[in-house]
Amino acid sequence: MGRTIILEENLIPSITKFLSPNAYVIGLILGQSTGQKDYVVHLARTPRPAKEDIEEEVIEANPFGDKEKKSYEKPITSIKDLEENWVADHAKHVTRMLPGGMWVLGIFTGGPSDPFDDSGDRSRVRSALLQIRDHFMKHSYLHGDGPSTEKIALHFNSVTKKFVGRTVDLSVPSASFRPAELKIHSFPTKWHHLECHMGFDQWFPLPQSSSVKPLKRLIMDILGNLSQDIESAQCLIEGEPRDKADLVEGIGEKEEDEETRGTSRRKKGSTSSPRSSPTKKNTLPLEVNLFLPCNKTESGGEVLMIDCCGEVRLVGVLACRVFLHQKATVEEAEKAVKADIIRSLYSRLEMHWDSLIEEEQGCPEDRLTLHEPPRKVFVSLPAWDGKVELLDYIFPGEDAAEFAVMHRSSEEDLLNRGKGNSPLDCSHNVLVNTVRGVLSSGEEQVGSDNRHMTRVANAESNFSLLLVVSVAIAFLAVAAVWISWGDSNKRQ
Amino acid sequence: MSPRIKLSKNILQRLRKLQDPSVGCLHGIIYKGEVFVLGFTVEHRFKESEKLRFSNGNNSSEITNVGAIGLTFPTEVDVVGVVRWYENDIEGGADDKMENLLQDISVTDNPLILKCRIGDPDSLKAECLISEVFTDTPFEIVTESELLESFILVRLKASLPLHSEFTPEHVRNSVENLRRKLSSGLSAFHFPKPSIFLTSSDFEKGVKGPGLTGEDMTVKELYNACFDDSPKKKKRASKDFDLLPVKLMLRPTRDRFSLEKNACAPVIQHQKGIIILNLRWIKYNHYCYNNNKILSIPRCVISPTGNFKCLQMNLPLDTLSLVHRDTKASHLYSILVESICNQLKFSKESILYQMDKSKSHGSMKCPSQPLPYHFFPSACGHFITLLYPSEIPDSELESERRALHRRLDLPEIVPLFRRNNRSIFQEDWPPNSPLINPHETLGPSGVQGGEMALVQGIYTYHHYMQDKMDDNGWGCAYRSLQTIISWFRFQGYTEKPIPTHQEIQKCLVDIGDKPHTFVGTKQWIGSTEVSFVLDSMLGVQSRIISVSSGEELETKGSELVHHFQMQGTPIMIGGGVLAHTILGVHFNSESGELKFLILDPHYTGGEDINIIQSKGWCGWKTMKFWDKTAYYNLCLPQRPYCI
Repeated sequence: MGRTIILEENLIPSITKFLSPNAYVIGLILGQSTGQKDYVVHLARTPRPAKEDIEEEVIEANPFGDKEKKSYEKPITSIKDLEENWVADHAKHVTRMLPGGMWVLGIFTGGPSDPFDDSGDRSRVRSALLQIRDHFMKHSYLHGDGPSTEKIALHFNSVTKKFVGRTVDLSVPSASFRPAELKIHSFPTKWHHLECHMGFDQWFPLPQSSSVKPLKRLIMDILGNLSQDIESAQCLIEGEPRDKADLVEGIGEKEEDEETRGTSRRKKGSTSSPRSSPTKKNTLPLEVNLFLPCNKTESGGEVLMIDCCGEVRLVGVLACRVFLHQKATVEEAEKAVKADIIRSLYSRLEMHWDSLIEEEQGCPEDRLTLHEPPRKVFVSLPAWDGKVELLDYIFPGEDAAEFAVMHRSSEEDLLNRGKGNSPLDCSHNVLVNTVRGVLSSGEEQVGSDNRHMTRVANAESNFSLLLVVSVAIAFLAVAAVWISWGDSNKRQ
Repeated sequence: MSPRIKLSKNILQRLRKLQDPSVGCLHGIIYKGEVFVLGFTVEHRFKESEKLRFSNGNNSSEITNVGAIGLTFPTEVDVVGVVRWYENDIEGGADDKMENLLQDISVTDNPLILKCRIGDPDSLKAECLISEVFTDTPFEIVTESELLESFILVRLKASLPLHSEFTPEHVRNSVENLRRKLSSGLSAFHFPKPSIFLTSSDFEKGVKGPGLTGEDMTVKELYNACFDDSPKKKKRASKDFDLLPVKLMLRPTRDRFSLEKNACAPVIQHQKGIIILNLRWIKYNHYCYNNNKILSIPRCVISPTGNFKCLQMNLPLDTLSLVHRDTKASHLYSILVESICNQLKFSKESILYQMDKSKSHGSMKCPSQPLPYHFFPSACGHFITLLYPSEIPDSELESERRALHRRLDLPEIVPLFRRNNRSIFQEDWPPNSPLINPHETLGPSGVQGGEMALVQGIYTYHHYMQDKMDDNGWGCAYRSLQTIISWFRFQGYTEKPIPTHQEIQKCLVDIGDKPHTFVGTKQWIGSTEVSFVLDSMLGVQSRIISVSSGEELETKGSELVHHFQMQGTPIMIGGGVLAHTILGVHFNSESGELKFLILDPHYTGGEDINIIQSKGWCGWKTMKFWDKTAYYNLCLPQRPYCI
């Protein structure tokens, strides 16, 4: 049995609107993968790097590749023009913006002829998928590679106006593209919404032997330990331990039944009619808490006295929100939350160090350095009526207004969020939507420079305590990606 | 309302045994108006100064030494009153020493006072302080089995990482921070089967678990839920409390309703190449993003010279709490938190004590891990938990132990608190290892009247074919010797491992008893060889009794009763081709009836208590058991006097 790809009708324009009679559109399929099903939440067209970036990149990658350079200046007229590098790079950046439990599921193409009919095209698509996977393998903390080894290739034929879905199993060296069933839904699937606030308060002495290592390496070591800890954690959802095979679906409702008080925490019966699903405002996400076992025995009875030359402290709260398909199990939910924490911490640290290059060594006089990685902000996907959010990162010093502008201009780049049918205001609202809460501190930060948003945030907090809480979350982030995707491209 | 006073049978006997005019603390559990008094500690002996001159030297620090090994009772056993032993008539009211102790009692407003005249068992009387007045109060006596029915022992095990700069001040702060973290609601307790979590929010909402509701769930129900699925294991002996094991978990996530006001996204603070002399939490003005935020981060006073040393170890926790079965399970949360915090406090003191000691010796030695040990000396009748630094051997802790024996008024001639005296919990005992005390669940001997005397304490049953060693047909005396050595181990007399057949043979060669060709053979050994090995390996002397025939054993009844009463060690008996272990005798001197409790090392099967008992591998034997024609030698090991 082949895989089933579930696609929302209103995602289709993100392919079709870019079509021109002779050119191809290429992009990434983002979503959730479970069992034999793939739920698509977003189609992100792969932007073509700005011209000067390409030149440098090409020179770097292929100093004699003059011929290829020219091909970038033309529209992509053939799948063979597809550069695996773009797609793989795009996949990396996009993955940073995905909540845990969502992955790059594959590649979509749109154009006049089917890539699956041509062996050259097929191998092109396949090698792009392989390159994406290889990249994820190298950066395991990104949790980029989904649970299925089968990846999607989806094509929209601009002549026949038809979709063709195929999957290919990358774990089998010569596997061919197999047909997949494509289900196009006209109404949005319901998504379960879970959240978690991960607190860090860790002190790490730096042994003298480590003094030769750059701080970035040390931090990655620390991240490795944290990652192990988090993997070993047990989860409580809404305060209770759950069976791994239980469905997330049942969780909110039982409490609802028990709760006779007026303040319903989860709306029940929403499953029966997805269209009338409750608005976000009166639904709190399910709360997930992690519990770490305290039985470390790896160093056993060893007592160490270490000569140290410094210390690192990691403090703060990382907000995490994940979205899960309707039939998700508790196990999937737990994995998603854990992956979200590590992916987000890793992404923001990477972005921070990418932005630092020169400062990293710091001034030798500076004995105490405070590193502020970018913070997370949540971005609603218009196609889902705000019920699914991706995320983004803003750097310290960037205020929300700036962010709004960047956000708008970069829409076309990474995610193509609602371009064309979303005027500035709309994207602005999306942003407001996302920034209204942040953590309490974040709220103020956004507010101080942007009266509009402050107003919204305040209005909502007055409106309903629940709302503020539902929205309370965090951030950090990434301006570098937005400002200069090309730049970061260069460095890689 | 005056509380109902319940004295354990054990404490009653102990109270009557003390011989010096003294004052002490009473330790017990208060549950719903009932005070269960389980134990006492002697805080002051009025004749102390005279006495001490007779015992050996350096006594001034005895009490503080006990502090270094952290004497603790199970959590929930608190100081509930004071006890006073009078040399002459019992006096009314309280003297200064008693007042001092009474002032420290915080667990109840109605502390209890027991008064007792030395040498007069009936003089014991109880008073209760009600509205500043000493009021005579009746007391009841509870038996051991009643206590076992009323209480459950909850055992928490965990290991917490400790990183700290290597100065006393930092160690103190680090442990304090750990305690603060654990008591701030981030702890949770996990009962692995069937996965029940006890979290800080359960205090209001009750305990959660699959299929469990329960605002009113009691500890008893929790225990049943944890052990319902698995068939109840036969308890080793009825003297054991039901044990509920629990694991500590730590929540790194924050509750959405209780996010700290100044919570910010993760930041990294990097400090390099300096020595930090002073790490303090202060309000630090930091420009966080666009806002002038107050961020609480450690401020360091720095000195330009060099670097610092960091101490890194895992602090093992192993706590006991003695909880009434009807206690609400949700209340267990705070009990467990208290048990951790309490043990952490003593761990900290142990580390600081070691640092202080090594400093006074002029070296900067690494302190070792304080390891928790639980003891249940039968003379004491309750659990005691001590923390011993892993690197300090028992031999260097003698003065601490002596002080402890004195505080608990326990005999100073037997070891009770060496590491090997620790209480063995079923969960710690690996499956398929030799059985502990298989005789304990046997029925009566069948002898009417007379005196029964059994082995005292714990041993393990060693028999043919264990340790992948095929000694069928020749190893019985070796196995009997192993059983005896196991007894000396469990009683704390030795830390030497149980020797293998080859090691036993080598020992006999080394002392010149056997030629060197003896090692590796399948030759038998007898009672005298057993006594040689005990002497050579453990320094234990033995008495040898010889009888010319099995029948003659009949005349040794009272001698054997006396041995088990005074020494309580297992006896090895060899005669003809067989060796056995005698664990006890039941002797009626009037009728002359005599039975022997035999542990038979010739058993070749697996560690199955039911087979061993039903087939008589461990059981009561009559005189007919012995061969009338054989000559027998008995080896009666004698306890050394030590502490």
